[in-house]
Amino acid sequence: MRISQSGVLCSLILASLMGGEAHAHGLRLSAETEGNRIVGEARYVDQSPLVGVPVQLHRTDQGESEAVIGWQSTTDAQGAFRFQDLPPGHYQLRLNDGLGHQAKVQLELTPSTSTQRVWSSAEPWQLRDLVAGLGYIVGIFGLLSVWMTRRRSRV
Amino acid sequence: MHLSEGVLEWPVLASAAALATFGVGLGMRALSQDRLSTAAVLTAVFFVGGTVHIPIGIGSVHLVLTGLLGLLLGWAIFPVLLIGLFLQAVLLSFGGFAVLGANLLVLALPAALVGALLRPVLRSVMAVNRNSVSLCSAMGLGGLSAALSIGGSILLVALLLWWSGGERWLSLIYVLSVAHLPALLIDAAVTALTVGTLLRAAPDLCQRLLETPQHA
Repeated sequence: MRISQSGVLCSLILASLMGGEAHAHGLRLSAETEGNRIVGEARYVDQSPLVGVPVQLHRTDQGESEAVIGWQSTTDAQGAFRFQDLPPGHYQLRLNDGLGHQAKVQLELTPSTSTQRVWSSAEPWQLRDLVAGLGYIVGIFGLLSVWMTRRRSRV
Repeated sequence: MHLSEGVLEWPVLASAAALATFGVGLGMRALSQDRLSTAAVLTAVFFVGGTVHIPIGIGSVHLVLTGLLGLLLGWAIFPVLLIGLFLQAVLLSFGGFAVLGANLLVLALPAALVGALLRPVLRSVMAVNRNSVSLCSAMGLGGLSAALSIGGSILLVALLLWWSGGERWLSLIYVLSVAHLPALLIDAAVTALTVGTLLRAAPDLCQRLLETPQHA
């Protein structure tokens, strides 16, 4: 049985879409202050946790020499981490998974009980993002085709 | 395989972007209008295929598929991957805009070179006879193309990281190289099967794609 060419190529895309759990490269670091503590979690953009990855916390308000002095924690099985008994001040959280993906966020710890919540820019993606991407690809190549046709007609 | 923002120094980023731009120029000359629809579908395959997660031990690997694209598209892989990588950065947070040129160079250059090397071989294999031996040879070439493309990409990543940070990135280079070996094997198997399926189901399409493009 002869299968049409477009059918073969479309089946490749569908097979990719049905390929089970999707996994991505970007990571999202979120954290919040709770009194003298900072708690947070690190996840890839498909929401799978970063497990056993070191998280570094640095002071950023005591001059360059102090900025390198920091604390270190490690993410647990849910990608969560915490730092406790911290003095008030400005901090920077840094995370690097050792595979070239890194994120950092700034936090301010105040003596009051108010909380601050921050997160790095990578947003989780969903199936609609994949569908949107496929739509853009059709549009971009459609425009390319129109451009090539007009260029050929001028020649 | 995507490099993240903040890993490479700006001279490395600028040089990689310049080389990638040159590659896109070459690729646009190779992308004739009659190949646009196939290029669009292969862009979609790359865009979506990069999100497919295959569990290996406690970690996972992702399909890269540059070997398949290099074999079918040749130098036209540059503009195709530019669109795919841009959309992955915008919609899926893969890589980033500052490293777009570096990621394009790392993924497209080895695949384009491997394609230039293996496309004539695949063309001659297909021209001889369409029996099971030639089909297996073509599948082998597909697997070889994927393995060489990803191997080349690993080498290029290592080179860019070394240029950017020297011994500072030595452990990252080691981890990246080892982590991508399973991806290399899986990609080779998937590419070999895909080439076999395409040759059996759509031999005319493969024949057209493997022909040297006529420039306008």
